[in-house]
Amino acid sequence: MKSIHETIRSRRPLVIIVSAIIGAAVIVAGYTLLSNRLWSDYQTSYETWSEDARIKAEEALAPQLARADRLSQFKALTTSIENKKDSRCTVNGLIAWQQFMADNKKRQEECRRVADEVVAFGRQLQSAVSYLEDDQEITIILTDAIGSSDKLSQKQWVEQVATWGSASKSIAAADVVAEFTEVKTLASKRVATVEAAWKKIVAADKAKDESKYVDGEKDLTQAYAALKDISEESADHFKVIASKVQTAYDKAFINQ
Amino acid sequence: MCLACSAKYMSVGLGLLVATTTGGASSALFSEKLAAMQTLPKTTQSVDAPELVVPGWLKQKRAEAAAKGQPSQTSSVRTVTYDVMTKGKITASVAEFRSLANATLNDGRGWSRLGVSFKEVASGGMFTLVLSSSDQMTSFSPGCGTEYSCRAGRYVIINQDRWLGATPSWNNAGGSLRDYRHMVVNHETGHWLGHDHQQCGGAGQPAPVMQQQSINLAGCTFNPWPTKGELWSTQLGIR
Repeated sequence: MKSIHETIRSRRPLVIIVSAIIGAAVIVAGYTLLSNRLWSDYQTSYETWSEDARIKAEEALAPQLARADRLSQFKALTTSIENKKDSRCTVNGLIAWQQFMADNKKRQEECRRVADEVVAFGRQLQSAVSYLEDDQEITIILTDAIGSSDKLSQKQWVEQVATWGSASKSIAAADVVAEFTEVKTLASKRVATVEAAWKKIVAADKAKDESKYVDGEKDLTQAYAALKDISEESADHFKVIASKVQTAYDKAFINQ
Repeated sequence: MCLACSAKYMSVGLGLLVATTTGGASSALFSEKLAAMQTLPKTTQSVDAPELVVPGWLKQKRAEAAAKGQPSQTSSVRTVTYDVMTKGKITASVAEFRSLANATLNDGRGWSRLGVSFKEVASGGMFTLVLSSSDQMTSFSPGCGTEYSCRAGRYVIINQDRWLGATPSWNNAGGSLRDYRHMVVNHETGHWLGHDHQQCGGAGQPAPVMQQQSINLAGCTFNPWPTKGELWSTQLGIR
């Protein structure tokens, strides 16, 4: 009888071959499982990324948030989307060679589609944010000019000329996005009309000319009333922008 | 590993399911919520010119002119006359109703932008502005209900209950009674001028005055005054 040691020694080449085969099988199985895991993670990653973007966009609109906080959350979101747009669908180097396989190819195509739609949403949102920032800048200028006094005496009329003149300059100096240009132009015109009406009142008062004073009063009422046109112009422009954001939102998160 | 994968997939799948259901419901509001962030429309929607304290020289001039019996200086615009009546048991101040209605009709933000001036006359006006108790509303037309204001032929009828307390939806949305009164006078007069009801043009936009704002703002913002697009009148032949 041969001892076990002798048996192994006599069949050494066979043992080595079998061990190598088993070892290789274990490595191949391990790599296959790892590949599956990495491809699953790849898919989960872009799905989660898209869902996170949607949640963050909705959270930024939470009623308890102040307007400034909403804008800053939107900006953070759009920046984050934009920063990750190129690396979003990069495949891990360990499994990169498997990209040609049909399933994996499909995953990558889906990732690029999702990424493109989320990026498109981010860009539309950024456009809305830029518009809302301009909207706020012009609002502050107009709110300051309109003031809170509902009854003004002679002394204050001259101040009004200066106030509206300054508002006119501030609006002209405002650096706004293309979508806001028409609103800015209209705001400039309407503010200039208010300034002109105040000048007319001041001049009529100085000349003690009743006829010109009555005309000036009428102009002033109409000029203030016409500020309403800015409201309508702006609402019309933003309606188009908001609609584009909604379409991009639906494409990215709803009609997938 | 696969158990972990399955769990992860399930959570993502569930997330997407929730997103599709809850997200679907809220997504319709995304653009509306965004539109509500605008500040400019609210700021400039309704701005009154400040009142000017009449200067001493003008007071004196006017007093002198009055003493001599000279007319004061007025502009020449087309005049629309109307008379005022009440119907049913009225508890609101009729003097205040007359005064506020006239101020609304001649306000620089209102129908006067058609280039007309509204003048109250004792009788025989081009239309009759009525302050009516709610129970009398149907006496003007079967089409008028007891709940809201109405226009029937030449009668522009303001429901006293609405005049005194606006509507629950208006009040719940934070609208003021002053604006409601502007709105209801402009709206019903708008019918006499030839307008039908309008729909909200889009979330965040000022509501057309001919929208039924008493019932629902439908995403629009309060607006007691006619919009640019509403400045026409078949009744007066103004297009």
